[in-house]
Amino acid sequence: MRAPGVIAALTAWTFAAQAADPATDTTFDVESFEKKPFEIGGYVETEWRHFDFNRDGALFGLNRYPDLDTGGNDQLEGTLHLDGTLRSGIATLRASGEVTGTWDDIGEDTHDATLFEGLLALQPGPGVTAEIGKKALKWGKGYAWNPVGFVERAKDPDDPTESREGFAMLTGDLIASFQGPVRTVAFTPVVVPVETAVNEDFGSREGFNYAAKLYLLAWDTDVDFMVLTGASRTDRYGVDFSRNITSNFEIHGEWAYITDSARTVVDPNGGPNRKVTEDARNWLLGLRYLTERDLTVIAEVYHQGTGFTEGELTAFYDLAHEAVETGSASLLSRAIATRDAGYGRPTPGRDYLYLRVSQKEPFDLLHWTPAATAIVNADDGSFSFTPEVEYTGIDNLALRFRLGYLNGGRDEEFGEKQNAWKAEVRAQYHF
Amino acid sequence: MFARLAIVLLVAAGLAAPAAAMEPQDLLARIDRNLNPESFESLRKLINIEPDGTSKEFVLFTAKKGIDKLVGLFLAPASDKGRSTLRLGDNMWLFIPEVGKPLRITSMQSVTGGIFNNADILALDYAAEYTVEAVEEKDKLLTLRLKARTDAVAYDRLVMTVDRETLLPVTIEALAASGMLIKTLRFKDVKDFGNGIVRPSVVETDSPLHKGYKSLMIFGKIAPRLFEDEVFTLNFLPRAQELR
Repeated sequence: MRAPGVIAALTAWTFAAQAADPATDTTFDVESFEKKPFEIGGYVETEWRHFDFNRDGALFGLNRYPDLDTGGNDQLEGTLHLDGTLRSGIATLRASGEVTGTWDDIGEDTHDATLFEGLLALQPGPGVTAEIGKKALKWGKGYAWNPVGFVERAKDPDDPTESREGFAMLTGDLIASFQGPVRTVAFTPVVVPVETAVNEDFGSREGFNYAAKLYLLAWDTDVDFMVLTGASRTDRYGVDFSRNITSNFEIHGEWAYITDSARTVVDPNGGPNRKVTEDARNWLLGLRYLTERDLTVIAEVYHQGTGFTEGELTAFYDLAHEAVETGSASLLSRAIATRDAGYGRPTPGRDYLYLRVSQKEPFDLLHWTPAATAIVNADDGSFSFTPEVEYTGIDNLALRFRLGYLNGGRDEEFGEKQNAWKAEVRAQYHF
Repeated sequence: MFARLAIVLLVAAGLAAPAAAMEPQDLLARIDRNLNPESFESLRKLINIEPDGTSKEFVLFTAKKGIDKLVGLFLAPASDKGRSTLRLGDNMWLFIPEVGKPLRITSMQSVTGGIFNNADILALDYAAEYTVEAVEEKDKLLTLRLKARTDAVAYDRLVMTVDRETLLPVTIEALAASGMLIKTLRFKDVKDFGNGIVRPSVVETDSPLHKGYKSLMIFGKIAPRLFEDEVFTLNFLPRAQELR
């Protein structure tokens, strides 16, 4: 330290300076935050949902047939989510999973246990990591969709931050840092095996799949290049980027090229379902903007070349309506087969717009964050609109109330969904 | 031997040099070094106090290297534990374990809410982000008028009041390009953290834009530590817990 006189001056200045507010406890027990070899945490969650059925919707008829008189459903779900870490030397064992019980008015009550991740990581230094086990890799920069997420389960744009189950894999990271315009280069190789009881839902054919991601931080821009090849999925290539334009404005994008993308489509002329195979391009452009008054806007445009065209969607909806109206076993079988092959997934079409606006603590309402989200099928104009409000005024407790309203007509995506609207109340307590 | 002695004498002379005799930018760099070593680890508590008196606390481990590399890891509360942040110059990211990948954030956002925004929580050296336009001396205080080097810096201007003897900040007023006062930082309760680090242990802030709100940053530990460059990368961010 410097001369004793300076210390004396510091001491004098300390007393002369305005003391911290005596009402505020400024003590800090540093020891209680020392790193521990074993840590466990998680949350308990309970969620009540009410669904009001869209009785004119093709998916309502198909999902509920022959019980078509039910107007709605109430569900109660309880979840215990646990995350644990065990460390020893360069090795870290990490696991994450949850048990869920659902009590349903019209369906069967269910109880599930899911291991999202469970892996062993070896890290001899910060620049080298090897991992083996089940891992939820998440690639891409998009908020609602990730066209370059080649080795992960699809995200639900209606709740994109929900936990997702990973795949069993061998992966790792090689990281190098530099001075100059290219500041970071990182390489992530991935091997995903598919065989009986291992990653069976990754692809239909057994064998090994190889993926890799090259990340660059160059000229203040994140850029990733991805590739996937192997036995179970067709080859695909991707690139993404993200960049801050100003101190409150971010832009991002993704582009993916999928070779021999196959989809099972309904023949509008009544013929058997057929498989269409073609190379496809999926891409996304988005932005995140924060105003001076803490209003956050997230907007994204998504083109899904692997999705169904407007005509293909119409053919499916018509088939589903005809199957339900006639009760024909063969038509129902065809409709259900195509629903399960892709038509029934969230956002199965070609072009979408996503807009989410959230306002932190408006009108001095402490701890309340209202938000509204719209997902628009840009081809047919139908949309979902989800206003919500979250309250975080109690330590470690988050309360969320959401309404979901779907709007669209006959042969339009959101007009043919199972639900007309839904309400959700969720309480999540972290420990 | 003589060369080493000469260096020691030169450094000692530099330390003893009166603030007024220093180049303004060197003065700002000296203030930075008085606040913390260039590379260090720290443990901080952030407290957001609402107008009704309720408060929310966060505990943040921080690793910093050089002038513009910084990683933050939340240790509490349980709802935020495991979240980590990375800053490389003007670039900032947030990793949320549930989301599973780093997202770009901006300096005007706040990962904790409250009056401190990301630029405050992940603060770099002032000399790295600002140039000194003027230095004024009055009584026992120096007033430094700072201008942001680029548009990417959170505050266009800072007015930094510094104790002339100790060269430690007393207050910092953060201004928008329009001249509007965004917030005031007040540095309090000087504490000896060891390793020659003697600095204010409490930074308090309020803002005319958020009347009645107050945020505190309480330093529990600051210690010199050298990290490898690869620690300050997106790929390492999900493993930031291993730094402690």
